[in-house]
Amino acid sequence: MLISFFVLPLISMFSLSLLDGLPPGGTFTLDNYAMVLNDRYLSVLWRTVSLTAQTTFVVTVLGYSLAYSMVRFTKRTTLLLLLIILPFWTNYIVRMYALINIFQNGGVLSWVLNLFGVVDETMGILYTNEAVLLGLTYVWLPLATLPFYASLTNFDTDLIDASKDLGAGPIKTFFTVTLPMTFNGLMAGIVLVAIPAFGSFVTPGLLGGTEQVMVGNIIDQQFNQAFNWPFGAALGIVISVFMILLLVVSAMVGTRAVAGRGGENT
Amino acid sequence: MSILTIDDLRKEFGSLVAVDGANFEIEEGEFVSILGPSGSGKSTILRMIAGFENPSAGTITLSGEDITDQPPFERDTNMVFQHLALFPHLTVGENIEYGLKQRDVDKAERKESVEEMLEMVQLGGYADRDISELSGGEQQRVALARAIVNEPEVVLFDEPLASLDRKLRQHMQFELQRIQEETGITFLYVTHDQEIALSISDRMVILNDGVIEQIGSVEELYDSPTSEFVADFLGDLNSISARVSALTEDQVTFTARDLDFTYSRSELQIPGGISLQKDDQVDLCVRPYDTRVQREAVDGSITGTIQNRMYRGNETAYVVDTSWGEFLVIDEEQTTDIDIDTTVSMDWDGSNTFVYAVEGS
Repeated sequence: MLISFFVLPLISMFSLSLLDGLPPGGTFTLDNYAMVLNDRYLSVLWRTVSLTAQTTFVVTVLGYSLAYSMVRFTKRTTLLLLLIILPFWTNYIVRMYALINIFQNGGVLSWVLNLFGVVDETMGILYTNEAVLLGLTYVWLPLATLPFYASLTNFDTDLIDASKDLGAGPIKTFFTVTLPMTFNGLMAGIVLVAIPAFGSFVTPGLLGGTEQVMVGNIIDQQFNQAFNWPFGAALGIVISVFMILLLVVSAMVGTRAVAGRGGENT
Repeated sequence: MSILTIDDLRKEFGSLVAVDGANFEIEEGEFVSILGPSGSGKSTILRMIAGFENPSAGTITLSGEDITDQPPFERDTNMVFQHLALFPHLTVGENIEYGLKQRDVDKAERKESVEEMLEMVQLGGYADRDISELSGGEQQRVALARAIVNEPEVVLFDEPLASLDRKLRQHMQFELQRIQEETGITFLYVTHDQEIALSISDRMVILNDGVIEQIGSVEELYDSPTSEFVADFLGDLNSISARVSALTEDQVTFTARDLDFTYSRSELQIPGGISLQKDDQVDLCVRPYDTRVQREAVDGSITGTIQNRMYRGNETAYVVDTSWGEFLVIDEEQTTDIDIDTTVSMDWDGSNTFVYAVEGS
């Protein structure tokens, strides 16, 4: 299973990326990887990394606060969880077109902003960095909230009482007890968001237009429009390496946190 | 002056009254238990003292200061939690110094205090261990050290020993008493286990259904319980309902169904100083240890059949099935040897008989 669905495609991608034409023709070359280092693609790569980092940061802060309030401040958790999962039942593309409606010039967002006098024009934010960031945040927020929620419900709230009992105020308690105790859930949520955000192409394609291109869009173009499959494959391999590095780092940080400090008790 | 004073403390959860007007005082350096069955509100009282629950009414005073509205992190109390609540992401030493860190004690001093505490709870050299490496008993000691290292006015215990096996629990009881004597810190221990409460505390507060039944020294409560509940809770009770059928200057006769029991008035235990009147409905109560059992059915005494017998090492307990219900008889001298299904009769002395008025009579 693992071999046929994960390893074989990766190997065929890798061999494809080393050719200068489509199989069965094509000879061995490293040009595809050299092309990745081209300024245009490097800037796309940089934008992808930066957008992923921004998305992950915003999603983590929002998602953690959301999960925290759900666990600590309300009893209607089931209803709220349902509301969080609800967008998953709507088609991704449909949701993107809904966002286009909101973001475009004269759209809902500019109308609301006008109402409150924030901006005077009817200019929307479609095809900007912010549009892509908001779109990605919207899509991946629910996915990250779930592991945050799971780790927050699983941890013993007696520990919070114990911390307060020993003289730590609410903020101190959050940073010395709650955050470290839910660290693994936090990492899981971050990885769950960072990986698909890094490879996304529908959201930047629809909300970012031609300006806010991410690596995913370039790969999409290479395969579907330029028919330069080997170069697309090379970019794909580069992304995969990024992803694997990210996973290794997060796994290392995670195990150190667990192994070094005894992990979960009970 | 008392170190902790509870005044008319009340706690409601919706329509449920968990604690209904509790009053008590604890002197500095005392070891006091709050004893009551599950759901009697004892943990709620403890959590209100610690600051985790807000009282619906009443005040809590700690060393002369009204702390009723203070958040837990400002109160000079520390708690040993039922499930200990040690921080699993910190080492033993870091757990113990957590409270000191919050008070900005400097590092060298913290380290010294932690070492000192570990010595006191006999875990010297454990500072760098992980919590998960410790046994249940060792975790108890760490939880205790984490509370007393801050030298609070009162240490609160929420039945932490309940999860230990009997032998380890008894050992920890001695340890608690020793550490309390060494540190002189006031201990308030909540439990449903009368055995623990009787053996470790100086005084006990007996709680039933959110109401304090009786407060007193261990001896007082055991020897002269003011209510049937307290007597029954502290060591079981055989009880029959009876009517006062005849009263003379120095004798009382109780009639229960067709049996008459006549005792001298002076020897009866009548707690609370109630004065008996003719036709009063009362409960006559005797402890299992003070009940005697003999093989023959004797006229005018309660008879039944032995339903069960249990050897408990140094004593034999009989469960006697009678038309009055089950009686428990404990023979400490083990002078009897009666088989199951034997018909027996029971009797006891007037001096061991508690008389409680039945409410509503």
